[in-house]
Amino acid sequence: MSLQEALNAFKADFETKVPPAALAVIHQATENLRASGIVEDALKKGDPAPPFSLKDTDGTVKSLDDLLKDGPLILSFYRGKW
Amino acid sequence: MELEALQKVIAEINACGATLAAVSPQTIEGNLAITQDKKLTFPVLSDPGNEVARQFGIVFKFPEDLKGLYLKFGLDIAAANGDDSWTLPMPSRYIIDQNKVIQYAEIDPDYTIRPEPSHTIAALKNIAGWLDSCD
Repeated sequence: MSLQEALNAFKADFETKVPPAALAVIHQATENLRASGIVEDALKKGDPAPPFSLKDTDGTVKSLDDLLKDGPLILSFYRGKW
Repeated sequence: MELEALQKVIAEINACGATLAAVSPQTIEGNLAITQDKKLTFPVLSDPGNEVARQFGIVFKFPEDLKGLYLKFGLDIAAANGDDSWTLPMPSRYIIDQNKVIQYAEIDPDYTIRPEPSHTIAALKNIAGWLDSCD
C-alpha cells in the first residue's frame, strides 16, 4: 500500500468519527489555505535553498552544509503528530 | 505514517548518495519520542517557531475556529511545539543539490495529502547527473 492509500484509509475512518460541523471547519480551513496562493509563493525548483542550522534529537546542531556533505539532501517538512 | 514511509526507502535514498532529514516544529522531546517509537535512522530536526519553514514559504497560521476545535479534541499544538504561534508547515518535501539549489519541491495545503516517497525517489533518480550514482 502506498503512503497516500494508507492516509486515505485513515482519513475515511476519521471522517466517520468527527461531527459534521467540525469536519466543515477542517475542510474550510484547507480550502482557504489552498485559495490563498501560499503554495504558488513557496520556494520551488530553481530557487536557492536558505541556509539553516537546527538541532537533532541528540541536541546536535546540523546545518544545511553538514547535511549536503555527502550528496543531495531530501528535506521533508513534517507538521508533527497531528 | 509519513516518517515510517520514508524510513522504508532510506536504503534507496542512500544508494543514490543522498541524505534524508525531516524538519518539524515539535520540541526535541517530541521528535525524540517519534524517532524511538518508529525506529527512525535519519535525523528529525526541531524547527522552533517554524523559523526555517517560514524561509521556505510553507508556514500557515491556524484560523481561530480550527484552533478551538483542536483544543477541544485535546490537540495542543502550542504545548507540543513549545511556542504559542499556532503555526504549522504545510506537508512539503524538497530535494536540494550540493550547490544549494532546490531541484524538486512537492507541497500540498491539505494535511491529509503527503508527498509519496516513490515520487521523491523517482525525482532523485531523474535529476541530471545523479542517475548513474543510484546503481
